[in-house]
Amino acid sequence: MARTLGIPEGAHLHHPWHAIVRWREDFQRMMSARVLESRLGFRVTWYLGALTLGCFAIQVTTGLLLMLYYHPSIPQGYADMKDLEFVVSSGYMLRSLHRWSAHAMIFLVFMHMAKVFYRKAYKPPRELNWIIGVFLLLATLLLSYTGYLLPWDQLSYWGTTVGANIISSIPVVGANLRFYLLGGHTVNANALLRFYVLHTMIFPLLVIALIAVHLWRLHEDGGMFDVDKNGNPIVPEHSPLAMADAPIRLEDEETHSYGELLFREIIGIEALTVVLFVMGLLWKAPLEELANPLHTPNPAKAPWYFTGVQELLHYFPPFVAGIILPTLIVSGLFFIPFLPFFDNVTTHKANQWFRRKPVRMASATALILVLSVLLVRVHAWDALLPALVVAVLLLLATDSPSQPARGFRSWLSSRPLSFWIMTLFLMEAVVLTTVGTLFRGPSWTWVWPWRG
Amino acid sequence: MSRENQFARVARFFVGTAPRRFASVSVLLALVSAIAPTKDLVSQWRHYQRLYVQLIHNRPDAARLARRFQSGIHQIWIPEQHVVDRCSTCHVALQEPSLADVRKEPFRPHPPMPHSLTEFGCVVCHHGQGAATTVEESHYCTKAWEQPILPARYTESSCGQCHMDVLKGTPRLNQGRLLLARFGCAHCHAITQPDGTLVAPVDEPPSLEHVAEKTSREWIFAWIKNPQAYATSSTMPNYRFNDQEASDIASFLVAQSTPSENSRKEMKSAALPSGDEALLAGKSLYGTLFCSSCHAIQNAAGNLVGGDLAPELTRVGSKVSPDWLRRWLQTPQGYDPKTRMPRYRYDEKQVALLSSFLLSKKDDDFLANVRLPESDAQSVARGKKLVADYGCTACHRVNGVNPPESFAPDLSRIGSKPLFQVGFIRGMPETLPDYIAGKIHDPRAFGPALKMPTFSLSDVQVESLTTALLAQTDRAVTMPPELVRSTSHAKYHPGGDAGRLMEDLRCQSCHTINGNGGDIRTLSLPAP
Repeated sequence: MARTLGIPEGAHLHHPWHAIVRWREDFQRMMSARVLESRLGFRVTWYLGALTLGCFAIQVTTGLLLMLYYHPSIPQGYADMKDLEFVVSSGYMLRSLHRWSAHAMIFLVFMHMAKVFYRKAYKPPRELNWIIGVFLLLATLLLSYTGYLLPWDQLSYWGTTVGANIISSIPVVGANLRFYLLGGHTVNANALLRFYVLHTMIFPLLVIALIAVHLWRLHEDGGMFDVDKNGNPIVPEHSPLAMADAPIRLEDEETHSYGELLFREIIGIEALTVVLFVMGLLWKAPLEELANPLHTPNPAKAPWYFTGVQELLHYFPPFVAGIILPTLIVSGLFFIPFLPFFDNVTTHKANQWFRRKPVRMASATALILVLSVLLVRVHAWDALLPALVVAVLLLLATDSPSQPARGFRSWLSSRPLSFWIMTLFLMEAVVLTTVGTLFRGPSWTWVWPWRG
Repeated sequence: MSRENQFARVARFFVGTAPRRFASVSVLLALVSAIAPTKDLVSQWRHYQRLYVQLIHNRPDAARLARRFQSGIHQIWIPEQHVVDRCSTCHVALQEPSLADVRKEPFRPHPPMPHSLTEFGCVVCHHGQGAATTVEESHYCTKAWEQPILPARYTESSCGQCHMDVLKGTPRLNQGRLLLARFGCAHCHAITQPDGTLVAPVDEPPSLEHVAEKTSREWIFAWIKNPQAYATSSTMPNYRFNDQEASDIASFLVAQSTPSENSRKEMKSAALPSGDEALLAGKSLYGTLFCSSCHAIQNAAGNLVGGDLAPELTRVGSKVSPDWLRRWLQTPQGYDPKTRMPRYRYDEKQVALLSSFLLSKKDDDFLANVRLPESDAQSVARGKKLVADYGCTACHRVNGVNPPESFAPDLSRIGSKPLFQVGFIRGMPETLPDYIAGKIHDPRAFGPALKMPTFSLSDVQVESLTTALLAQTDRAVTMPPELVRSTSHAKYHPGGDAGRLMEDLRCQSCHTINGNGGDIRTLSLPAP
């Protein structure tokens, strides 16, 4: 479309008013994708992408303000935390907002990913955007992890040390990678400076660039993901991947209101900000004693989003827990759109991943059996729980022509293999993170949080 | 209209349509984001500063005080000492001596002190988190600051971080340091002082190399079981040995004993004078020879009469053998060459009278119930192991057992000990002063396997010792020597012939010369 949309040919292009008109046109063009009015509601997408973006906006705003007070040096960085807490007006609120919205962002990114996955919004033509999303997930984790060190208190020092030790378990290059990341063999002044640069420059720029591409792809791929009455994704007409049988939007159901969606999402972001402010008022961002390299707290815990990995490290050798499993997970996330085997759409009964009950039973039983034996072998009882739950659900999902499943079981039986893998992964992530964060005490022994 | 309808109407008004939702949430956001800045306006320190303004309003010198008062956060910044003190934000009147009559904190002025507030700050002496601007964070132990404010009763310890000399304003610290030396803490613990010297013990634990000459196995047993039952003023601690262990140690000590130089001397007259007259004469001699300058004896009222430079003699008759006593009075150095007891050159008669008086000072109950099994080789071996294990030789000389090396923890930096290195007892307040005081008061409460014995100390003495130990901070150890006002002549000994004579006569056992020597002024005779 021409840039001069809505402006008459030969009009006074240099008139300021036309510039404003042009901006409006540009904005409308950017947001032109149309959605079904019925899909605008909160319940459809939970506005997870928009809320994540809102978190990032809060991060950037509070982060810039925090940068006005922070010196990345030892022990001044810690003293700056004290100044923020005791002298700077609302300084503690800046820190708390930054901290809680970082946590919220990670949580929302995971939720966003799960929601997109379960809605099958990652399928072509959106597979590139899915991969960008996976990159955004990793970048968000790194952004948070690098920021974790900056207060330079006991919590951040040892959390970072645990994280850096996980990195060093990579074979061959691990030790070097750790050295380059920390600028030394231990977490020290060089590490603080490096993390500061990564946290305030490199990763934010990376995330901003990725978000831009993410939104651009979202627009190019037809805007908000939508399915027709049969549950098939609607492919935009201008997409090269549009197929002949792609459903066509019904004009009367369509609303010209991406603007309205944006409006609703802004309300959501504002509500989230209110929640974060209230959290900041109720709970200050944690700050412990000045980092002491000679005093390892017991337990030394990584930031909560890595305690799942730490919990795995408790059961498996570092190479398995720190590298093989995360690599499997991340590569699984990357390749899911490209592996139709895992993801055959269930509308065609013939394509179901295993057609015959005995085969399905046998394969599911074998998979869960191997997993269970492995987990029992290392006494990973908490990791075993999701595997068993998935096994039970798989058994429920079995049906045969003679015994057709109904209701919930019928719904379960129509799920593809990718659904099961993702569900297992998410359940494991939730269980291991919860256990690692709340149920682990000194020497990583089991504790009940309410007896602490 | 029913309540539900009203509620629905209100809800519709606020969130009925998207624009209304937007307006409501926006207003809510504006309100919520204003809470934190508003809370800052009613912060604790502003509250105290407002109270201060009210306080000075009605005072005669209100104008002057108001002129000197500046609202806002006050800060003392001393980079070299890592001090960022904002205490004076609430304690606004620290440098207003005219408010001396104000008793209400945080508005009391600081008592007169030799240091400038702005040069030293507050936390150097009082600890706590100086950077904080709330009572909770600055005074108490939090996750972000483990050392709470130093209780006022230990404040003198902060002077001792730099000052080595006896200050007029620090009686408790001075007493604590005296006790550190007197109770022989430094026999086991190394304690480096700010001037770089080690605390030197001033007690004189007797040599046990010839102990069998001096006393009996039964007495040693009873003494080990409870030293203070024999002499209330004794600084010997109680190891809480059981009967078997005490008996084994007594057996070993007797078995290892060798004859002293004195034992080879002939005694001329065997019999001691007896009778009331002799006792009276001995007692009068004890007085005229000024034995009580150093030794104390309990009077009928139970009070100690005499000095505390040498052992208490209340029950000495239950302890020493008559032969040993007479030889000792004649030549103390013949028994223990290092003793501080002067050689008085008494004649035979004086020795005999003194001996009979001293031997009459006995307590028959002390050894009445002591029945020890026969000493055998196993018992002696067990006793030797106990003597070695419990570090008896850190204080006493014993044949065949060397003094232990690095036996007990170095206490040079105990005042800066991080709390994560401290093993508190369940239920005790988790602060360093409480830990040190608890450890001095009852060491074995921290673990029955610990070897440190229990000293017989009053609560005030425990507090004084805690004060002296709290002074042993990192700052004390790293203090540049030129800044430490030390008693550099602490080890002074006169030289030349006079020096040799003074050494032979042990003058410095009682008299101080150039800061070194005993302090006979401690003599506490009853008023005539």
